[in-house]
Amino acid sequence: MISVHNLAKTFTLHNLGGKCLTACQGVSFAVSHGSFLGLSGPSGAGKSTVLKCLYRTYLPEQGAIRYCSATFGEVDLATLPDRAILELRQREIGYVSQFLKVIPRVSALEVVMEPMLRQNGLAREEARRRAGGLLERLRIPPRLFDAYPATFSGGEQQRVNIARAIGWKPRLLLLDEPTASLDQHSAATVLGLLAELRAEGATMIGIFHDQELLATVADDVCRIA
Amino acid sequence: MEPLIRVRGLGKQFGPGCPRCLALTGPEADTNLCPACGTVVACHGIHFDLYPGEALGVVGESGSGKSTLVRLLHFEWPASCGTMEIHRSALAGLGLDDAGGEGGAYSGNLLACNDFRKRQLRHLLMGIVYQNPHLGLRMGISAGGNIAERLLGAGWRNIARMRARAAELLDKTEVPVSRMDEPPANFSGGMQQRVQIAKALSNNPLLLFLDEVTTGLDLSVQARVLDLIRNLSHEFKLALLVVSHDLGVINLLCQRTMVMKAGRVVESGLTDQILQDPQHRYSQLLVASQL
Repeated sequence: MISVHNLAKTFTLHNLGGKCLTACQGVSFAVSHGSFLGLSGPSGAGKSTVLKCLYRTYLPEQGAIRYCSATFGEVDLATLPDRAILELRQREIGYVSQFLKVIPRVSALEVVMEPMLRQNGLAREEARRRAGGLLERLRIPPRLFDAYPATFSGGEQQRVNIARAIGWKPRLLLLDEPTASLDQHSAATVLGLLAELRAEGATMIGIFHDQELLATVADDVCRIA
Repeated sequence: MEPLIRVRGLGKQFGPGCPRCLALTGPEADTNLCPACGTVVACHGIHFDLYPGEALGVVGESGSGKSTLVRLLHFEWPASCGTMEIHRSALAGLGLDDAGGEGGAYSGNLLACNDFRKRQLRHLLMGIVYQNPHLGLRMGISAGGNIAERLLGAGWRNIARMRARAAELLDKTEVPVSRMDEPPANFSGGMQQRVQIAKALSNNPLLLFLDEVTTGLDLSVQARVLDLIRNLSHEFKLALLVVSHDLGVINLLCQRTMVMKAGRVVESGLTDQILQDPQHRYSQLLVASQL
């Protein structure tokens, strides 16, 4: 489904006289359809960098990212034009960041509904029902549905973030520490939701700080040094 | 999906010009003023595609050529070089099918059309919102009259229908309809900006230019104007060209962004990539300078 060959990313800092910082290098792995690859390694090893390169938030510098897309067939995510990357983000690749980054002044329910409306073409009522159900499973009380997530606690924000990312059922999901700010109970709910999504055929690549957790969810682990 | 407009090699110079103008200006020289002949190279070599329904951001400091770019595309100033072509499907049914070119999916170079044709294209396809409401509105005639003027340009003739349309748009842009017969001079800055937006949308444009629309407004008014633009651009399926020096505005509205410096585009990419992994020296400075 997706295979990474010899991926490297270096940041050139012009304000420090062109200083180069290597974030990751020589990263290679392959993930087959419907499986879960965990990325492990110490802080600063470049795990998040790899995910961001896959999502084009960072421009990969070297290497190839072969992805079998439903939209375009096999493509190299490292060199695909911007517009095509946007299209893949709209249709099949989801990303869960460590922190919620959403448009301000949009209610929690709207935040979760928006990709369902745009990507799945659901009717508003149906999207509202699904988004509400998802948020309730994640133990966000209905009285918070029309509040702005910016006012939520860290754990609540993260749960809204996860609901937004998985609600539209992406084909490939990139997870950057999705359970880091959650208590055990919420983390277990999130893992349950991820398992359901996988049962429907989604492929996932994820970073978990907790090694035990990683061992339970991942089929395979790639160590980034 | 094919681009709505294609812009290639667009440039504008003020001054006599000399063979060294281009070599002596630009981001490396850190100026747009040619030291040999005094020509200002306001912008040069601009190349981009704008897709239907997409918002493309243009960021850069004052004098980087952002507003010049908009004025060229809106036919306010003649371009020194370059082309702009529009997808023929956008012209269908507007009586503009003969916009030049040799058949195929795209029109000829719109920048080379005569003034009459340019005015038609502008009235039927484009809208613009300026930083300064004085540029977009006649301050002495009523808000409704401002919108009617635009509708007249687009071929409307029935007064009652024009009034109804003006009321509808003012309502959408949250301007009290009861005040539509007052001149914008009586309105606050945020309200004037919303009347400008109503006027720009009145002819159902496909292409909307936003030139620093929130600069100078206080924060809560900025937020309302931005939310309004975001909602209306979805509703009207507009292609937006958003010029701003504020990365927050660009981040909120645009999926893709171009960074300009001294009249040239130094970098273009997805907005989140420009913000988190800027490549060019100047883009890095811009991102690092954000409050």
